Amino acid sequence: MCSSIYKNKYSPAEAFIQIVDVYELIPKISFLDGCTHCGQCANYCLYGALELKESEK
Amino acid sequence: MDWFGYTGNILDIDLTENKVSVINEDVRDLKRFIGGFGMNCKLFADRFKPLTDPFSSKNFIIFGTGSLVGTIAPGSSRTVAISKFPATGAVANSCGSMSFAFNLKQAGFDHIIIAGKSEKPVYLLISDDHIELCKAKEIWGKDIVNTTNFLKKKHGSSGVIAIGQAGENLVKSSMTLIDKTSTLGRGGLAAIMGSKNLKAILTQGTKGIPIAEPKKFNKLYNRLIERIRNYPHRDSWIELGMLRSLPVGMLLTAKGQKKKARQCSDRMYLKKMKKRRIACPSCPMADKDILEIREGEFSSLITYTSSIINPLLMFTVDGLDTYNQAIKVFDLISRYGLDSLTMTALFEFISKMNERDILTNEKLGFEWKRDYKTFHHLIEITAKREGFGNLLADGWKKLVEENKTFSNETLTVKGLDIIFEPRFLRLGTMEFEQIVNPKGAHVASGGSPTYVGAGGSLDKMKSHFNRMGIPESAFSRIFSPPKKEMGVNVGRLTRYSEDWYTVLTSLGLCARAQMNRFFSLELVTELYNLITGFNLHQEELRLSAERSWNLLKLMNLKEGFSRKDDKFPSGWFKPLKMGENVLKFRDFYGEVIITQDIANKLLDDYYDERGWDKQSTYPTISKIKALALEKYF
Repeated sequence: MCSSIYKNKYSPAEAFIQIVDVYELIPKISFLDGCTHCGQCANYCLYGALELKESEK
Repeated sequence: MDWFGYTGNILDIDLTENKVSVINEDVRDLKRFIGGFGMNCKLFADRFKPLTDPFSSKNFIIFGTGSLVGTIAPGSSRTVAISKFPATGAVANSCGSMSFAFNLKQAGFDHIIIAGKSEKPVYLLISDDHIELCKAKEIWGKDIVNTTNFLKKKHGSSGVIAIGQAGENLVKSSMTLIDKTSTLGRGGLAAIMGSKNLKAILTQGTKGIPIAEPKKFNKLYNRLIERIRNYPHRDSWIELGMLRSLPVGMLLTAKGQKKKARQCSDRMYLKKMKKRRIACPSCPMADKDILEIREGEFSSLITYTSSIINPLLMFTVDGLDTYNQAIKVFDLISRYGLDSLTMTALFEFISKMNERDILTNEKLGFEWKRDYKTFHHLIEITAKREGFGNLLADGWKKLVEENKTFSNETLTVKGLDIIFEPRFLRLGTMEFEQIVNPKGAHVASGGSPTYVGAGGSLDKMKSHFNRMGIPESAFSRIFSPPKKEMGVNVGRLTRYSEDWYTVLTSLGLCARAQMNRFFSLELVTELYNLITGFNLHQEELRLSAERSWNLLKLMNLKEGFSRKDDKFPSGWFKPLKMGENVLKFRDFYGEVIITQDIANKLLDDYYDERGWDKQSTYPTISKIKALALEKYF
């Protein structure tokens, strides 16, 4: 969804959220520079694995 | 031209010449033959010479992606592979999921055509425009899990189709696994890859898929995904996975094995087996499993499966005493790249023949027992073609040739063992489709409102018929079975189930009941048009599915298949003893015992509904003309 919003195509490689080893026991999630914290990945996450929270100072 | 949804490219690999080229797709073809299933059939029919040996370098394997794969259309991740299969000698499509097709599409290809035979073992690397046949010396001889792990470690995140030792040894019941999880190619696809010295294919893509109408698509997507999110049973599907569709404990209870039934209850599965749920790209229903044995023998073993039912069904076999043993043999089967259904059927069959002194220990070359150790040994000798395993590796057909009395004892169709037993489940379209599917006992296209346990009134069926795009003019025929009490004519209904599932497979959409319940022909046509920019009517989509199915049939008629091969296993007409219960072959509502005469009438009705001659099973001239398939007739 991230790439669809920002790049107008479906391309996980160009998304600002990256998931590595998705089928391994512990997948790793990272956010790249350029992520605007728009929260759409959390909104669209079908499993509630991502949650939008206020940042803690 | 600008491509949306599709990439417009077909990768053409000649293993003999070590040559890679790219073919551009023709839009006119894509409007007649849709996506994974449809274009696979067309590409294969245009190249394949009938009666070619499946292991000849002249056999092809064509991998296809569905038209919606690579996007976020829910449940759109399917890979389709067509070839001539060694277990049956039939030309057939097989389907799998996980991330292979998604990555292939993202790399910029809709299909891969594999021709020829490599001189030495290789694997095919597709990383965007970088296409390379790499030496497979380090992985030849390794099992599927180790091969996949090796390739992912070496090349990074990717989709991987790999074969195990069974494929290398040309075992006819071998299969491939996608991402070490999803089975692909029942009936020997792995052996075909093995015959070509092709150990694996790895795809990784970063190009992205543009779609024609992004705003309208997103609106439709949001509406659809909201329906799925609000589906009241979604949470339990995600919690229990495929165990929700068939509580295996119920089967064991019916067999009178309550102690074993308790070992595979929902609670035991959650507490003792489930490690993590995994989903294919774009899937909102995550029903695949990473399993872990937490205690007892084989403790700490981790294995992957596309359905928890597969290892648990092995647990229903007399001789495996604990679920740990079932998961262990399942893991071994997966690693070698064998078929868990076939191995279970073989274990049952040999046990019975051994008990009746037809297959003696002397003939087998070892002492046969109904226990874990023997099952383990059976898997090893089959995968490695050792001793009696060499005969088993050549499949059911060869086994029956060795001893004609076996033909009345095996439950097979065209050389593939059955998946669904109608004496337990009754005769729905999935059970019936095993007879008429060109591939043999296979059910990729047999789902309908007669799904396992679905039941339901005839009125309720109508709403599903509408969803599947069945024309109302066919309803009265579908509700006219050979005996009135049967309610529904599964022969006639199967024709429309096949068309509906061919649409889903062509688009790359998940066919599992918990996902396809959200789809209708109208909805998937809308998704297809918004993504591709084509403007097809839903009837054109249905017609393209029918065209593809007829083309597949024509290819198999040229291989010599006819009505004689659409044969109900004789065992189905005999009672099945399950514990204290004696089960008979009955219709879907359990009202009528299915006799050979009724079975023949259902076959007549199926061919009639298809527009095929009842004796030769050739499509009639008018059907060929209506589908514009004259070129292939």
